Parts: sequence; structure tokens; C-alpha cells
Amino acid sequence: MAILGYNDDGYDDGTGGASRPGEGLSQRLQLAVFLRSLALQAAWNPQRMQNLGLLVALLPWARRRGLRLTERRRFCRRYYGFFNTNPYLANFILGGILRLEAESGVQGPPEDLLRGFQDSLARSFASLGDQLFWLGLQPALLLLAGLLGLLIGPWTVLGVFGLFALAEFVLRYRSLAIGHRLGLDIVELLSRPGWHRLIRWTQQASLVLAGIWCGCWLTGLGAGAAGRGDLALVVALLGGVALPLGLRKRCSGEGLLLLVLLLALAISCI
Amino acid sequence: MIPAAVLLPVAGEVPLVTLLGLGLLGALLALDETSYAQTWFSQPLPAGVLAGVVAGDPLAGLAVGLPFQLAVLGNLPVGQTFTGEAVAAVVAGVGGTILSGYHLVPPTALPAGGVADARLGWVLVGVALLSIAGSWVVRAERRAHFLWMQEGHRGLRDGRIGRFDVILLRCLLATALRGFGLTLIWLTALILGWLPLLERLPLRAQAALGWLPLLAVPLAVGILIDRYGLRICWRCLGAGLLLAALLTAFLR
Repeated sequence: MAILGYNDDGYDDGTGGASRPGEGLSQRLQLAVFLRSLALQAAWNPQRMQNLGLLVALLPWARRRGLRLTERRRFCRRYYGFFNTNPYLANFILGGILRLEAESGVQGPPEDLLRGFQDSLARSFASLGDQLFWLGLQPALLLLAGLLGLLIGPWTVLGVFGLFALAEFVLRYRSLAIGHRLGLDIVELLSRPGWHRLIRWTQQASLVLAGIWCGCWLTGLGAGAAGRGDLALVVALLGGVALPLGLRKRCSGEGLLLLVLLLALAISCI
Repeated sequence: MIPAAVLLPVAGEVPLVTLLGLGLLGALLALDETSYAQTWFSQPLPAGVLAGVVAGDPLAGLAVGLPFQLAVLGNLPVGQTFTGEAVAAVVAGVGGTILSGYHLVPPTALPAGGVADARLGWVLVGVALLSIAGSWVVRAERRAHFLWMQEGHRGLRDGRIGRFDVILLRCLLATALRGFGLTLIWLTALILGWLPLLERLPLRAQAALGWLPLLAVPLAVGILIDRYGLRICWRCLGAGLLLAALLTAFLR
């Protein structure tokens, strides 16, 4: 199904494993692009961010397509501009780009279509991915792993992150094929309410785990502080919680740790 | 306080294989942090445990990695917003701690009398300072990425797409070397300079350092409330507190 309606006259039959319009990605190509897409941020730079990573991830397709010199240069120019998105969801976009390339022949997709597709999806996936992975899943997983590490042993920490790594690889591998299958229809994937539900669940899970941490902290410290009054405990709890709230994201974690030394000094005087 | 003999390893006793292992771990985790795969093994908690495994004491890795992780829970490794280079700092912090003969355990409760171990707090302060210092090296590396990326324009002109692979590999190699080098430099600085300083600190400062790892938990709670907003927080935090009470009763 040609979603763009271009003719495929210029399509090279000797693709050597590159995908054709209407077909899924070949396993070989999918694996090659997947392995390279893991290095999407390897050449991250403040000006064009992930541009080199994107181009290098797409190169297996260009190689297998057997492009001529001018087509190769045009192909590289198309993907050497600004690109930035969430690395865990980037392969949806990469799959979609491969689909557009496959359907548009050696001339490549029209510039404004490709730019619009790439930019709007990159922004949307960046926003979703940052909320889901960095702000939701990561704190939840870290708090859970820390708790299990204390209760069961340090090895469980590695087990939790091993499982995450596996899940992440499966997601990134499969999202290439999904992006390729959907092409321009990826937009529909973005509009599903499940994303926001998932974000809310992960954030709630983080908070419940933080509550468990807080409860265990109060129980453990309460037992130790007995005999020297509960004032130190109250000051520690309120001061520790208030410090990041007062600074309103203006300070890094390392800075907070150094600033909290002042609070520790005050508590040790009690 | 802590006798100097326990703080400094005897010259020649630092095993080179362990140093090399920690350096390689620093290189691999530096790659994982942003450059390749991003599996989160490079987060301070798992990185600390891994460094503990390499240096022979995973529990010490948990002791250092956990409070530091809680304190930097709000750090986002997103584009330009990164604020520290925690990987080399944590690996060096755990390695330096173990090689210096410290036997640290995770801070779960204050000991009787209410005075906690100052050594962990001192290691954490060192790790935080090294992480801040390392961020300047990352910034320099990213500027180099930009220069190398500009080299890629030659590939756009002559159509030799192999150039782009070479540039990307160079970036990966630079990151790995940065992880390896920084880990060994920080390790040396901690073992020879930072850790022995603890015994020279006044008693009041040592008592404060004892509280530092314990304050990481309220700090993490504050960071999450700041991030999500108090309105959605109080119910979930309350549920967590209730679960903690049940968990404590169950464990007893």
C-alpha cells in the first residue's frame, strides 16, 4: 500500500535486503538499523543534537539500496540537519522514515513532507518519552531497586536493571517494525490515551515507593534516635523535604547533597 | 576516630587488576549513560553495585550508590540539562572506599546513641564534588562532537558515507576513554587525597557527615513532590506510608 501515492519507477530491484514499498522491514535490515540506533546519542552536540546518530542509523538502508553518488549525497543531506527526540521511542520515527524512503524512490520523499514528519514526531515523542521514561519510570524503578537491594541484597538491583534493559531492547527493536508498518499513520499511535495513562501510573508508582521509603526511614531512624529526642528527626524530615521544594529545580542533585550538609550540621547540634 | 592505617592502603597492595577492572567499568558505563544503549546500569545505584562487585564488596557499592542515587533522583540526562558526571565519580567512590579498607553498609538506621558513621557521608561529599567537576569534561567532549560533526560535511560533498561511521566511532571511543581516564584519576584523588582528610575534620563536622546519607531519603521525597506537584502527591505518599507500616510489621 503506497501511502504517499508516489510512483516507484526509480526503485532499484537489486536492494540486497532493503525494504520495498508495501513490505515489512527485512530482519537483516531491522537488526542493522536497531544496533546502530542504540548509538543515536553517541555524537550528541548542542547545535544539531542527534543528527549524526540518526544518519548513521539509516546508513544500512542506503547501502543496501545501492544508491548512486548524487542520490547518496542527497540522502545524507536529508538527515544531517537538526534532530532530537527521546532515544527509547526514536525507532518509531526511524521506522517511519524508512517507510517514506522506500515509497518515494531514489529521489527521496519531498523535503517539506519529510521535515514536517520528522520534526513534529520528534517533538511529540521527545515530550512523551521524557515524561514516561525520565520523569516516571526511572524514579519508580530506582526506588524499587533500592528497596529490594536493602531488603534482599545488592544483586537484586542488577536483576531489576537487567530486566529493564531487556524490555528496552525489545521495545526499540519492535518499534522499528511498527514505525515502518504505520508510516505516516504513526500520528494515530501518538494520539492514544494509553501513553498518558502509563505516565500517570509510573508517577503514582514513584510516589507510593517514595512513601514506603519515607515510612521505613521514619521507623529505622525513630528507633535509633530514641533517647536523644525526636526533634532531630522532625528537623531532618521537614528540612530534607523542604530543601528541593524551596530551590524549585534550580539546583542539581549534587548541589542539593552539598547544601543539605548545612542541615546536617544544624541537626548534629541538636 | 578512624585510625590512618585503615584509611590508606599500604603502597603496592592496591591490586592492578581491580584498578583496571574499575577503569573498564567506568568506560562501559560512560558509554551506557548517553552514548550507547542507555540501559540505566550507569545510574549511580546499579553503577555503585557493579563497582562493588568488581572491587569485591557489592554491599559497599549499595551503601554509596543508594544515598547518592536518592539525592540525584531529579537529575535528568536529557540533552543540555545534564548537571553532573556521576558514573566515574560513583565508580571511583565505591572503588576508592573498598580499596582504602572501609567496610561500609547501607544506612538503614541510626546506631544506638544516634551518631551515624561519618565515613559514608565523607565519601558522598567527595562523589558529589567529583561529579560536578566531571561535568566540565563532558561539556568539552560535546564541543568536540560538534567539531567532528562539522567534519561530516565533507561526506555530504563527496558522498563517502563511510566517513559518518568513522566519526561516530570516534565519538564512542572518546566517551569510553573519558570514562576510563576520569575513573582512574578520581580513584587516585580519593584514595590519596580525599579519604585521609576525614580524620582531620572537627568532631562536629564528622557528626554532621554521619547524618548526610540519612538525609537522602527526605531529599528524594522533596524532589518528587517538586517534580509532580503536591496535589497528586499526598494520596500516593500516604498509601506508601501505610504500606511501609504494614511492611515493617510483617518483617518484625
